[in-house]
Amino acid sequence: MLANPLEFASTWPAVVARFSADAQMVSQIKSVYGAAPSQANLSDALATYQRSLPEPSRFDRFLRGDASAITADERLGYEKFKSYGCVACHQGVNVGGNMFQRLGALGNYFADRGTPETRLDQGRFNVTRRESDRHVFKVPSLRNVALTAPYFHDGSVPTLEAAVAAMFKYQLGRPAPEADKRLIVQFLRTLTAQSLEKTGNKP
Amino acid sequence: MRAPRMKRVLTWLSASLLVMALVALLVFLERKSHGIVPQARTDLIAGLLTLREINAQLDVDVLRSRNGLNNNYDPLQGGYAAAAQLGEKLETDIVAAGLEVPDALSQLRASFEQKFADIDDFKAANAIRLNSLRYLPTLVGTLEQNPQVSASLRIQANRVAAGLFRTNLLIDADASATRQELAEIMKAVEGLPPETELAQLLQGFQTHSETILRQSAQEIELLATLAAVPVSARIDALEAVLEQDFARREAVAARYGNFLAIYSGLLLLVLFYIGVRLVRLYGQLARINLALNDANEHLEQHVEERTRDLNNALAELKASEAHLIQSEKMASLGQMVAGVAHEINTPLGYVHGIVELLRDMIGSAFTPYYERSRALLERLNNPESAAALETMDASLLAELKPALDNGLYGLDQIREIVLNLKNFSRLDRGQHTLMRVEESIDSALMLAKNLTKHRKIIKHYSDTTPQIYCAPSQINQVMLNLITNAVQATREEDGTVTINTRMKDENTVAVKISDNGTGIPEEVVGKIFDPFFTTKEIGKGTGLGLSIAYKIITQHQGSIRVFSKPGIGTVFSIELPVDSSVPQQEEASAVPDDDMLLLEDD
Repeated sequence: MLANPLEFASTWPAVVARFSADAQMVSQIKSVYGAAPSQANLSDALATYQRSLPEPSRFDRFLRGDASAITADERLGYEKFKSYGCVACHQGVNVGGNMFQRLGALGNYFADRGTPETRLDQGRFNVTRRESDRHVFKVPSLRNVALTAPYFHDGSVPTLEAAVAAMFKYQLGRPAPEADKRLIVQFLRTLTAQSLEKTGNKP
Repeated sequence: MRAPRMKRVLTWLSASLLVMALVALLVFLERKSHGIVPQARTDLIAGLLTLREINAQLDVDVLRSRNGLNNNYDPLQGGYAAAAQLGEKLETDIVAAGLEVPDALSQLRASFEQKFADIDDFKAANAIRLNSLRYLPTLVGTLEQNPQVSASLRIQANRVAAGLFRTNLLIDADASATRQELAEIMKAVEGLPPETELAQLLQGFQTHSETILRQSAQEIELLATLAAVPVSARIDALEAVLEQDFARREAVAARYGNFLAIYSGLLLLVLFYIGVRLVRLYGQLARINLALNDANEHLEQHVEERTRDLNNALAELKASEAHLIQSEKMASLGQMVAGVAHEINTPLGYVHGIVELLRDMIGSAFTPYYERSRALLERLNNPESAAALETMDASLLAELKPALDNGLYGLDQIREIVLNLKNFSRLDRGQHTLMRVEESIDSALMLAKNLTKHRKIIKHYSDTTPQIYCAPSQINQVMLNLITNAVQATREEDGTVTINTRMKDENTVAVKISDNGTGIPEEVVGKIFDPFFTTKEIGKGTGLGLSIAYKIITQHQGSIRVFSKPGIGTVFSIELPVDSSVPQQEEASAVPDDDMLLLEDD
């Protein structure tokens, strides 16, 4: 991810060098690890940070038994989320993020989009060069999804509602009442970490 | 100078290199003799076992997902991470155990990677299929509720759905009948206008059914692929390779262990030999050291003895030098005194004779002249003059005779003095004779008469002291010296010198000369017998008197001691043996004034 030109396009030596240039960072890292910044301690620090995520959202509180943590509508949205099959891919602790899936499993997303296909649209194919991985992407986690517009790998979808609609069309391949989609959107908003929910900052 | 040093350095250098080489060989053998650490071996085998478990669990989870028994793919994902981590750990463990990382490990990891990729594909297919499968009853229900749907179509749709569900439950279910029936349903759709609700419903039914069939087939294919991924076989292969490596390592370790045992034994022998040599050398060293110490101590003793001897000799030399000086002086003095006495003696003799003659003659020699004068006066009939003559004669006789007697007394005294002088400087040539100490004291007192005339001299002589065998001139000298000192220490007004003699025991005569003088300060009382020590003004004393006295008394095998209290007085106490047998040769050398004294006889 760090070295991937599509992600951070960096190298560990470059990262270590950048940290080493910051005197305050160096002193903090030394106080914690007793050593100068290195790949080992920086990756450890990053991992530790990541483990502190996800922050509990209202939905987490609901799952732990706090029935009042989400509203009736939001709870209904959760039921729809499950019954329509969103949960088939967006599952697990992070509500997604643990598998790959073809974008347009039940409809041709790229043809309907109306813009020419780019290299980015090849998805996992760019990594594996396997024909079967064309248009295959990582299923994203839906935590904090309400704060991460625009959506999809190409950023072509500006709102959560539109994204849910697109998912219904291309991934589930079934029609659904607008009310259900709205409920699902309402549910998705409960996945925002509570600290971010207040500030509205992007994660 | 430089060459031996270089040689020494080279010797040391080669010795240290040899020792280092021996130790290095020992360490090398010891290292090589280690087999696989049991813990490392256990860890590796346990790691492989865990990998097998993970692999089996992955298979189980895949099948559970296939049947929709797993709610999500987190278990599969966890399996990835665990397997990947364990693969890395295996590599570090193998390296830590000192083994080469076998190709079997990378092959195993590659097979895991393959399996993960296949599982990823499986998950994607599985998710889609399960979704469609879940949607299927809803679709069928909607179809059934549509009034345009014929009974046969409804039955067909239900049968397709049932077939699709069967494919979910039974992996090897035959889907061809279902496909056929689906195709028949879709034939019915062909006649319908596409935008009608029924057409769209059937279109959806077809899409999802085909998706289920397609994904199911893909899943089955993937399951077959998964089953073909030789993870288990690779684990077996790796285990076999590792076991082989272990065995080889153990064999090598055992061989080196044998070498180590032999080498250690040899080293121990060498060390033992060196130890024995060292103990011997140490013993020799200790003996040499002891001898050296001994010699050292003796040397000091010798030096001390020599020093003492030398000091004694020096003291003796000083004393004898002083004695010599004094003897020389005394010799000169004695010579002079003897000369003076001799010279005086002759005139004294005839002066004495003349005065005696005069005294004797004063009656008889004058009588004829007196008679003749009286006759003449009678003839002249000068009774006055005759009477005067009578008177004059009487008075003359009366005055002259005692005067001459006095003169004679004086001359006798002079004679006595001269005799004493002769006695003192005597003429005994330092030879030993018998003499009472009282004689010596009297003789000294006589000589010192001029000094003692203003002092009170109290003598307490013992009647029982015998004559002692001694060198009288020397004893005289001592007595004179002590009396002179005593007198000089006292004042004219009240000076008293007391002289005691007594028998201390039957063999020892003791003389004590006391004065009530100024005394001797405590800090110098220990030094008064040292040669050249004097409290008198410069020119008044030689500082030799007491040292000579000491020397003389010591030579007579006697002792001389002093007791003094400043302001009260001083006591000199001398003890002399009655029968001293002073070695003759020492006496001779110590008293070199024989010749001088011989002169006296002339």
